[in-house]
Amino acid sequence: MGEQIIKIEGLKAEIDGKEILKGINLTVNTGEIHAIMGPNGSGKSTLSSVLAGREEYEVTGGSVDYLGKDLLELDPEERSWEGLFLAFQYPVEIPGVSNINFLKTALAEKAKYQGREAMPAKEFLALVKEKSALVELSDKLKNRSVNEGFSGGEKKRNEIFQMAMLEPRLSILDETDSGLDIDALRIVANGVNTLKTENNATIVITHYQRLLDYIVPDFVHVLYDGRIIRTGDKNLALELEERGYDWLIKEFA
Amino acid sequence: MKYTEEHLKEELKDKEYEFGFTTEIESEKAPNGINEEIIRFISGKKNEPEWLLEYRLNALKVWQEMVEPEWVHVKYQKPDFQGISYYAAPKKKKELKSLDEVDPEIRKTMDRLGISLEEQKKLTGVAVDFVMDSVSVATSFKEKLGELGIIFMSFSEAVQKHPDLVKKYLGTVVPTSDNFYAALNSAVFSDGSFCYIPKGVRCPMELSTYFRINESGTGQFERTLVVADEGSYVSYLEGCTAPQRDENQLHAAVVELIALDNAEIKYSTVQNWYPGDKDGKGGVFNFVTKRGLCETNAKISWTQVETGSAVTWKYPSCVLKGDNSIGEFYSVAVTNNYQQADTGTKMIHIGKNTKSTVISKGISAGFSQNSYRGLVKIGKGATNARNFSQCDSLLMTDRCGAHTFPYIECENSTAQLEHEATTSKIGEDQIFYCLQRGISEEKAISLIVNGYAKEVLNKLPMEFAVEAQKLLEISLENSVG
Amino acid sequence: MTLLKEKNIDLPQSIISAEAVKLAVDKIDSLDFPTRRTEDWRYAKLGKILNKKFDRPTSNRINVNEFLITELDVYTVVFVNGVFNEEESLLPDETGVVCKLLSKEAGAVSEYDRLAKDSNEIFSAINTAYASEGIYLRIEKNYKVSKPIYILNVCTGTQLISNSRCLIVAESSSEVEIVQGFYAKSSKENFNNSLTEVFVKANANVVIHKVQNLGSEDRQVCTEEVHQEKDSTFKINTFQLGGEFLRNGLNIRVDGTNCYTEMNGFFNGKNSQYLDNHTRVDHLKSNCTSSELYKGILRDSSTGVFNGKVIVHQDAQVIEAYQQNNNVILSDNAVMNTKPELEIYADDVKCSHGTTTGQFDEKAIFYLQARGVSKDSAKEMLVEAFAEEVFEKVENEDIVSFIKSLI
Repeated sequence: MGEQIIKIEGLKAEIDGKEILKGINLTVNTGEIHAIMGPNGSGKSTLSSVLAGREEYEVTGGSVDYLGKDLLELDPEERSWEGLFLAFQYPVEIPGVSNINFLKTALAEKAKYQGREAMPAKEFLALVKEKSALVELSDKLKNRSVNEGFSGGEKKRNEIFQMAMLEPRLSILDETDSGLDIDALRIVANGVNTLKTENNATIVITHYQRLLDYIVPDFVHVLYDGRIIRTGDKNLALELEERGYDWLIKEFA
Repeated sequence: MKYTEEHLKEELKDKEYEFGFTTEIESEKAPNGINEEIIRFISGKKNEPEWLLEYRLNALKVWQEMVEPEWVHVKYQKPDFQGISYYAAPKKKKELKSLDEVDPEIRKTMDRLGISLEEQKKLTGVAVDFVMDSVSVATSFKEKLGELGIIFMSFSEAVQKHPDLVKKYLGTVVPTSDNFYAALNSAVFSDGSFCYIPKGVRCPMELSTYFRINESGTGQFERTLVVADEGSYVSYLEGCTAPQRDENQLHAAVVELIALDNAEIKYSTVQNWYPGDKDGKGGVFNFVTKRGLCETNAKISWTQVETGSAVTWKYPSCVLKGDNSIGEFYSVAVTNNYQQADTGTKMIHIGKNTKSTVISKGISAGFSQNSYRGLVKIGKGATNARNFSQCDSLLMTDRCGAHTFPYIECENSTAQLEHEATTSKIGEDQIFYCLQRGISEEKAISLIVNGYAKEVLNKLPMEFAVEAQKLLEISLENSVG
Repeated sequence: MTLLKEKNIDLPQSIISAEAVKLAVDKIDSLDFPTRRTEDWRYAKLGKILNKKFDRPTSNRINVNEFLITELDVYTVVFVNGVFNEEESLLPDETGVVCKLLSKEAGAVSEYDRLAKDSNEIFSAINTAYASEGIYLRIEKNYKVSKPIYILNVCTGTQLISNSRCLIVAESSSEVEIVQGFYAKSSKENFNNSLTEVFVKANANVVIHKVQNLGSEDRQVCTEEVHQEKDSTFKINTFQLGGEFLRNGLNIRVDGTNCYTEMNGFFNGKNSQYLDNHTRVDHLKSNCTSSELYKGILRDSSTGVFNGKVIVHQDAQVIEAYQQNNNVILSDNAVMNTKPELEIYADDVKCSHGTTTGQFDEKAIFYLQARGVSKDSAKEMLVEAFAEEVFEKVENEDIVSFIKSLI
């Protein structure tokens, strides 16, 4: 078993006074891939937003230990600098800001935080070339404005490209597979698998078992009504695909 | 950490005017006030021909009969026109042959502004006509331009050396009676630039003038006249920055562009005059009349980045008189604290197949008011005229205002006009996306704003674009609500 | 009063509310008469409508059958030259509706003139000072009127001046649909000055369809002052058809949260018509949406004006406001002046406006011609298609077909 990356204990969170997360417990160690599944409205995206530090959500209880630090005390950008990466379900368009400039700024700020010199331009461009090949992102897209005019699949590939550039310790993929055709899915999954090392970990949030054929999880968690109601291995996902969630929910009730 | 209005208030207090310093040069000043005697004094000082004195005196008469305009969305303490000195010139007036002869004080100022002539010369190939307190002190690249027959000199010099050209074109695009401030300028204009590109000549370098307002209590009345003769091309840059002052300073410039058949003029401005302090005290009043005339197949393109001045009132316009002529207006206007900007353009379509494009990006922060006011007029004879206008406003706080007042008047059934405008808040989602990628809030705002304004910034010549981007960043530091 | 004398307006003062008349008369004296330099009137040749000597109307006995909407079951309230015509009217007799003549309610209605008195519109003041009659509608709380109320105003005679006045109060959670029609019968160079005040109280829903189809030499200034309270809905559809000079001023104050406001308009300019639509929405409270769509056709030597103002006041957050104005110019002598305005003093807003002025796609016309449709018919088909977007906003099909029959 690897080193502990994140330990979530009794995490509760609400938005506009409505409790969404009602006590989440989850530990992720290096080298692991965790899948979180669950019906609509169970709190999957809320969990990723809370971990990334969106302010709309108020954490009302519990704790999150991330690499020995209290994650909930960190600003969103500090979480990023500490190696937490969220692949957004709906990547935001930023008109006029080129992908390359965006990433250069992101890497420079991270380097500054870590007390390193920013990467020289030549090295940076070489890295861009290497990492973009991973998700088959064309030069044209790299130079376009962040996510602007990208197709759904291109946006998701761009997320994985950014993930490759930022080399996170913990990646959270929020429904990265939804809306992808099988080719795009394969490319995205291939990217994620290539980036997997003994030193990092991934949380995959998804609706569909399909993705898990490509990214094979070590653990599958079922989230329902703000709690994890079942944890199993990849076979649990297959069972869910076949039987749906109702039987689990009934059992839980 | 949530960024609240409290933070904003706290941080805005500390925002300093980057270029806020004063150059100490003795200058010769006219007594305060405006009357026939003062006009004769100015004209005499400049050794002007009789016709120009007449021009000024006539303008004075016209001005005295005009009423100072009231603007619905602009509020300011009106200037005391009799409390202003209408002429100030550095005392040292000898002709300078090389940059080394420039006053060390001025050189120091230029260095602080990052516009050292030598550097400009080497790095950018720009000929700089540096205007300090209304009188040109240094002009470079003159010889090279001279070989091509290009005339680029201070207005006063042009009056002496090329009186026929000046007389022929002065006031032909902006008549004396055009508006209150144009009339005032016509009466008392101090100096400015004159540029003439001969037939078929493509000016090989960007022509540039840096304006600075310096002497306390000195109004600035620049007069610029650019004439592009048939088939010629010129790109003209105008950049401004002013020292910090407590009292308001009036600036009422007039810029006239004339693009004859098949000629093209590109006129770019970066304006960063002192905007006043965080409480809205002080700052420059910028009431400018800029207009260009296009003859057949001619093109005039205005690009402006406006971040300074307490009050800006400015509508660089194109009169598309000739058939197939083209007018363009690209603008970014940033207002912060208590700044007020009322800016836009007028595109007057007269000739057939005339085209105009208007792209305006307003950014409002603090307690500022930022208005786009534009007119697109399609005359009866402007068959097949086309206009596209896009006016966007970005709001940074909940105490600022962004307004859009487009006038679209069409008298021709073959014209096609399209106008779009949007007003929105800077996207929280966009900022969060940046934060998640490890880009701090301040940097994120700068990225987003520069991206928002990119369409316009891209129209600026390279050497200006960098400066403009920096200006946007400085102007909007810590300004999100 | 000298001003009005100069403008040949010579009428007995209104008897509706002495207090309001006094205020209005003072205001008329204090206000300058609009000229082309008055920003809100910059395209209007006002002289043209008021350089006549207008007389006071007398007779009001005419048959209005031709203006009735036969397919539709409605209540009717008929005014001829601003004078109530009882024989032709079929007033609402439902328990939840108060429908009375304003002159009979003299001063008893607290809402009367409450909106108009704060405006600086001289024509509103003239209306308050001189309107001899008007209609007062109050829909009681939680009451939904069973059928539309049709208010007809017919102009007849020559060079007469009439003031139409209407006060609508929709109490909370009430619902009403109103058709306001302005027509002409043997009418020549008449001037109608109409003023309607509408109170849409909490959660109420008011829909107005306004049809202006006056005579080719008639002039009209038509003003609406609307006040919306929280959770309310107000929709107004304007159809500007006949009349030499038609000037509309629509002012809506959205003074409550969670309101919905919709303004649609179609204007169809012919001959030397002057068709002017000024609208203004003031968003004073948060969480509201307003949507505006005006479309115009300009033929012959007609002139169209659209000036739409959306003002989002400070502290009115989370506002969505959309404004669209599309115009088609079909003649070399026609003119269109457009001025959509956004004034935003809050930051959490989504506002946009778009306007286009142009002509029909030549390719579309050619396509139709190639299929055997004459060029003129092709154009008319495209006009119809162009206007359809506005008609789609009118939910009541019978009202749609009635209005289409007028075009």
